[in-house]
Parts: sequence; C-alpha cells; structure tokens
Amino acid sequence: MEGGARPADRAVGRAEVVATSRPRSLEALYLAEWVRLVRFAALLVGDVSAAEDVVQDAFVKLSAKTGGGWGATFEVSYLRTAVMNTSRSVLRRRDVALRHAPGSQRAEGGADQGAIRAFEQSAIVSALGRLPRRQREALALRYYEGLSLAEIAATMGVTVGTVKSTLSKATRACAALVEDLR
Amino acid sequence: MTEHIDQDEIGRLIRSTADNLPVTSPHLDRLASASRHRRRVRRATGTAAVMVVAAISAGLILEGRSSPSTTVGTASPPAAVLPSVKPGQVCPATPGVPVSNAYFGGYELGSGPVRMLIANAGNLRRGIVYVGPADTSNSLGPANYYAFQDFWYSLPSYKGAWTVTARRLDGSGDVLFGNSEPTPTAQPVPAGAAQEFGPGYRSGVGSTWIKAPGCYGFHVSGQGLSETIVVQVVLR
Repeated sequence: MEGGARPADRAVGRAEVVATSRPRSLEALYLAEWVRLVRFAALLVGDVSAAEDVVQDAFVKLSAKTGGGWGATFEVSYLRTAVMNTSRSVLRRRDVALRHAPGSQRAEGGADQGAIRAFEQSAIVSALGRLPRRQREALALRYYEGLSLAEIAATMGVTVGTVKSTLSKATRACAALVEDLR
Repeated sequence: MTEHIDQDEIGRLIRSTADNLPVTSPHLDRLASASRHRRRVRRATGTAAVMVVAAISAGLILEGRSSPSTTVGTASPPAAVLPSVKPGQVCPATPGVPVSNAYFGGYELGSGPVRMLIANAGNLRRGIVYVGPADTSNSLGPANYYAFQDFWYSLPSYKGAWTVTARRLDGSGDVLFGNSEPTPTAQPVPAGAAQEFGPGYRSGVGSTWIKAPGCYGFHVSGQGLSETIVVQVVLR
C-alpha cells in the first residue's frame, strides 16, 4: 500500500492525460496505452485475462474499421470508449452464467499469478464488481483514468450532473462495500 | 458506516490496486497476428455459412420436399413459420423454464433440440424479457438499440447444423445478433463438434439487439429442424 493522498502525482497524471489526448496512430497507441488500458478494463470486468482480451479486441476492431491499417490516428478517448463498450459486452456475456467446465480456469503458478490473484480478490475490485455498471465506470474513469467530470460525461454519454450524482453514490456504496469486505 | 473510508481513500485504493497489477508489455506482432486471426475467422465463418446452406439445400433436394422452415442464412425468417400478431394484441410468448447444469444456467425457452437461454431480468416463465434504456453511443455495437443477453444452444441429441433468424411480430423493427458487431443473421452453428462447449452441447451466438421493445419471433432452422420461439420484450 502506498501512503496518503498524492496531489502532486494526480497533477502529473492529469498532465499526461492532456498530453496524450492528441490523435496518434493505432500502433503508437498500442505501445503507449496497452498497460494502462488493460488495468482500466480490469477494473471494469474484474478479471485480468478478460481485460487483456477486451483491450486486444478494441484495438483489432479499430484496425478493422480503417481497413486493417495501423497508420490511422485516433484519440485515446476514442479508444477508452471502445474499451469501455467492449467491457460491457464481456459483462453481458458473463451474465448468461455460462459455467466453464473444470480445467478451463487459468493455469496456476508463475510469478505474476499471485499478484493477479491479489488484484482479482482485492476488496476494492470485489466492491467495484458489485456496483451498478455506470457507477463502476464512473469511479474507474475518475480515479484511475484521472478524467474531469466533463470528460467522464463525454465518455459515458451523460450530463455532468449525472456524473456528479453517480460518483457521489458510487463512492458511498464502494466505501461501504470495502468496509464490509475487509 | 462510511466515515472510515473517504473519497480520497477510494481513489487511492483504485489507483494503487490497478497500478500494482502486472500486465505483460504489448508486442506489435501480437496485434498483427490477432488481426490475421480475426480475418481468418471471418473467412472460415463465411465458408462455414456457405457449407451449411449447401448442406441443407442438398438435404432438401435429397428429401424431395420444399419447406420454408429450412431456409438458412436469410436475414428474416419466412412469414409462414411465425405467428401473426397485430399491434396491441397479446404476444404469444413462449414460456420459459429454469435450467441449471454444469455448463449453463438461466431460463430456457423452447422445447426442441435448440433452445434459447435468457439471462436478463423479466417474467421469464411467461417469456417476457426486460431491457434497459438503449445505448445511445456505442462505438462498436449498434447505437440506439436495446440489447438483451441470450445464449442459444443445441442439445447433445441434435447433431446437425442450425441457425437463428428473427423479426418483430407486432410492428417493424430490426433484430441483430452478436456481441459487439451484430449482424441480422446469427452465425450458423455447423454440424460437428467445432462449437461444442460441453458434452455434445453446441452454442450459437449470444446477445440480441432490437430497435424497439415489442413481440419478437425467433426461428431456428436446420436439417429437419424448424422451431419457433416468441419473446415479449418490455422496457423497464
């Protein structure tokens, strides 16, 4: 655990978001944004392998939209929205409750498996998973992606007022869930 | 209850938990191979669709009969196989029954060899599905469509190919199948074990997108197979 609030770090995070919001080639976005987008998707779907698939799928679909080329430029906000929509599809599919046969689970072991398991079983990820979809998205966009209220509103296709009230409800609900889960 | 954890703490927890997640660095070869794989899948699916149509057409010729129920690959089911419902009339929805086994769970509609499993809320015992407001901005799927989560599967006893088409019965409105890039016709499920997910169970497409709530008829067609399932979609 890292200590305390980090206003300076947040300011750096915001500056990065602004600096990287210019259109870039899909290839450049893939190299620069992959890790962050996978972590963002993981917060939304609560599952690291599904998150990797979500981001991969979003890139491939955007590539297909431009005829399979990687030179076309996109703003990272467009890609973020694509990841968010693909995450929704994953969650809709998961709602069907298709239960995989034994043996289909991710193989155990490996240096990263403990960290991945810790992520998936953490109180905050479990709490996010229990929130309504819109609240979960608002929290991830605000606190992980570091977006402003206006940027969240544009990404989610809602008003700033809706974002404010959603964030307020989400923060309260998430805090209560984290306390229960700890 | 929430005094101990404030907004800053939630933000810090989200950032630190996500930042500690190990993620394998990207490699462009992986992206290129994913694109190639996607194109291969599309080509293979197209080929499979052609094979299914050819196989079923051949079956029709051999059996010497003509039935609209065996059409595969059309965007809309033949009018003769679905009930006629006027606007305002009661939708003759197919009753659902709960099903749960090691491979899937939910309410299934239909009593033939291919069934529709619905995971949305609703009065599923009466074939009524609730949908939420339509997504107005969906950059990958269709915008302004209502979606509900379904999952089509065939019983192990049925070995042939099958596909699903649908149309609204009490008005006009498109029906699309698929997750992020839906199409008017569900991807045909070929004969054989290619799409098996359990012992003999084969799955078709999931997710149905509709332009408006209403009464919808789904038609499953395959070799010697013609089933009709009706769902009433209600906005909640």
